[in-house]
Amino acid sequence: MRVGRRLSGRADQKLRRIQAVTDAALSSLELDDLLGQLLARTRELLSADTAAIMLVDPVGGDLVATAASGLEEEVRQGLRIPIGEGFTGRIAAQAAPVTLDRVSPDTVVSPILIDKHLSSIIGVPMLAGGKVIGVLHVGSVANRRFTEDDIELLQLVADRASLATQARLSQLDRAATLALQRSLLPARPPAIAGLDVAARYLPGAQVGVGGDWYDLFQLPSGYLGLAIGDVAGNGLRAAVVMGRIRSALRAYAMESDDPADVLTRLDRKIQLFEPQAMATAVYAVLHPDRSTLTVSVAGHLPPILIDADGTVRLLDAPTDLPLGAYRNAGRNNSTVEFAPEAGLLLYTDGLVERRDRLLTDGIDKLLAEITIGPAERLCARVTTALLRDQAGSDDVAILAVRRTGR
Amino acid sequence: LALSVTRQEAAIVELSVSTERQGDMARIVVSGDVDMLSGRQLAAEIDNAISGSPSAAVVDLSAAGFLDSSGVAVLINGRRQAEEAGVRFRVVGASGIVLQVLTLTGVWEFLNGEAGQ
Repeated sequence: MRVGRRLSGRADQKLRRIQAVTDAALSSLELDDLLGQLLARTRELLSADTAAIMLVDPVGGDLVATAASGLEEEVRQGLRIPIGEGFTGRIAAQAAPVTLDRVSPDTVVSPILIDKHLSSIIGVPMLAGGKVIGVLHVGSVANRRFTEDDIELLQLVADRASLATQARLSQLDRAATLALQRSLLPARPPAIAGLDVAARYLPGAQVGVGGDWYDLFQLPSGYLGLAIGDVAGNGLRAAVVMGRIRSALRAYAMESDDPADVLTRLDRKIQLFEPQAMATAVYAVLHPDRSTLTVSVAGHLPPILIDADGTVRLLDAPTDLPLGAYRNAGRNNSTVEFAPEAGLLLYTDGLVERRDRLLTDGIDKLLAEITIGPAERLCARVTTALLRDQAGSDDVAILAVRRTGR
Repeated sequence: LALSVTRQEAAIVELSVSTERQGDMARIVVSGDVDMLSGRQLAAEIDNAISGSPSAAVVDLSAAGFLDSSGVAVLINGRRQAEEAGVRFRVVGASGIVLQVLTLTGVWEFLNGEAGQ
């Protein structure tokens, strides 16, 4: 009986501890407050003197002090610890709990832990999708042995903190990516005399915002630049690289009216400054008299031409290698006539690519939907027809241009 | 308990990648769909194969059912990485949707072209 009561007392206590950190009321808090609350409760439950969370900085790869209770200096001073070094660095490197019974400059990197005269510290990794995203640790001034139950509780807190952090970060990431895309891709392209222009950018259902872009600009030489492209990858990273590639293309476009030359320079820039990036693109220039188009294709699906007589066809141009694929890849231009009422449709693979059908079937379906007419109507028509059955899983960019003037 | 982990991994066809060592050559056999999410797995396998310093790394796509532009990027990065490591690199066996993607993006000859290996 006595034993039973003791056990149930312990189980009770355990449950109370678990409830304290999994309390649904915490969910309504902002991330900083939630982490602060979790740390304060953890400190109290474990009768510890300090509790802190360090998160992995995705850019630098260091652990950065993010939230603390009793160790606020670490956060204020922006303490950074390389993964693998010291106590917290070791936890992150091994993705396993570490207990220290002696805190000294030999065992920890943070001078603040030493200044606090901590004797015992224990830390656990924060995991998300099998990856270490941070470390949670608690410390005690009095010398003590942390138990298995303590480790278990800490791991529970770490899981709770990981979930909240991940959710918040991906939310921030999504918001930032969308804001970036919006700032780079005006919903309404600029009005250009003699041309009817429409464009779309649609985030993918599965991947959200990605690295697709379109662009249209008037050059001082009288040429008009038209571009579409797709940076491999998704999320903030792809959108940031897309932003850089897009502005670099504009810069080179100002220096040369030769699309293959512009893409060659752009490719060289990507090779040097974005060695991990790959992008497909089409860059076309409409000559000052608007009667001729010169096009260069870098690994991108073929542009569609609508002749003045209504004939719809794929541009018969060589597809050169994508940007960032290979140093000194050869690039070609193709020149076609662009009569009044003729049109050009540039699009990214998200419009036509589906898992369950051949890419050429998707392109055929697109070709079948195209008729001569206002650019805005064409955009609406093809997006409805090709994305109706299922929201595209990939993002989609479309740029439609029709020559109106003579 | 309020602690629940929801995983959003719906509608994704599994990718399985394995490497067979054939003498001096590493053959990376891909089966399933290569897309944005699974592409990393293939990238890691290629990376791993190249770091074993074979004379050649061959990516066999005979059993791959789908490949998107991020998959193309993975293959191109693999070729670049192999070149830097002095390893010959070749993609073989693409057909159907996969071959179309590689052909339409103009990279098939580039990835498959190093014949005579």
